[in-house]
Amino acid sequence: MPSVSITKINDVLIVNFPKNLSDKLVDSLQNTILKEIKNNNAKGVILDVKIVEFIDSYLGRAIIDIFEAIKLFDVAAILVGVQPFVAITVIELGVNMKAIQTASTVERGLELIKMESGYDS
Amino acid sequence: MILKEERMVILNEEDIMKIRREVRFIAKKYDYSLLNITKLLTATSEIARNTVIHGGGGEVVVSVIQDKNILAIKLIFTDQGPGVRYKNGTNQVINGKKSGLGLGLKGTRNLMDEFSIQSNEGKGTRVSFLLRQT
Repeated sequence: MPSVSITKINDVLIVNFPKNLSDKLVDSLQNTILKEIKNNNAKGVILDVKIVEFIDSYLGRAIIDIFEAIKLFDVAAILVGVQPFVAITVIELGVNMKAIQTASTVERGLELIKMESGYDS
Repeated sequence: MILKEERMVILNEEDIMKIRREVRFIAKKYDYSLLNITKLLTATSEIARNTVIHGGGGEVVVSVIQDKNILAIKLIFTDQGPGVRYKNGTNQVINGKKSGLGLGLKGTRNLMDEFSIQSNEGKGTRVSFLLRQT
């Protein structure tokens, strides 16, 4: 069963999504990520969906919920690596992800978090 | 002309993933573009999930059709669940458990070249969609 892998660069968690997510995994994501934020006292979270093949309404909704929850923790969050075909499809599908901050790569995401939170790596 | 036809049951989440794998395999085999593969996988995931969650399980027939030079992949999902109920005179779904249901159907219609849904309360639901190769 594919799962997310979470690594840490300084105070930022990088959450790597697998290519293919089961709904069960999607359901557990928010809890897993919030726990890791707390355990690591993280200043920021980067959700990397570079290898995710598609974002349907279920995963899209889950990502929006995760961002809302992370905001309550006063932690910066950025979605990175959305592939062009995935972006086109998710827009046509009608999932509104406007409220989510995005960046093209993990490196760019790290820069943004650094600027936003003012923390020094 | 039907080049390929395959029937699969959809009872649980593992079946949803199995169908997604199969659709990806077929679309790649018939040289679908990456964008069209993404659209097909998204549509398949939306409707297969509806079949499990709202239909209590059902089945799908995946077929590859060729008409002259045009090739298309078609999926027909059927279940015997409670059916979809619409608000009078609109296509707004009113008995979805989560707001996701209406969005999934409407969105899938946008993604595909052809889409149809037949649903009567108490008599199950049949959803079919098709995406041409080009």
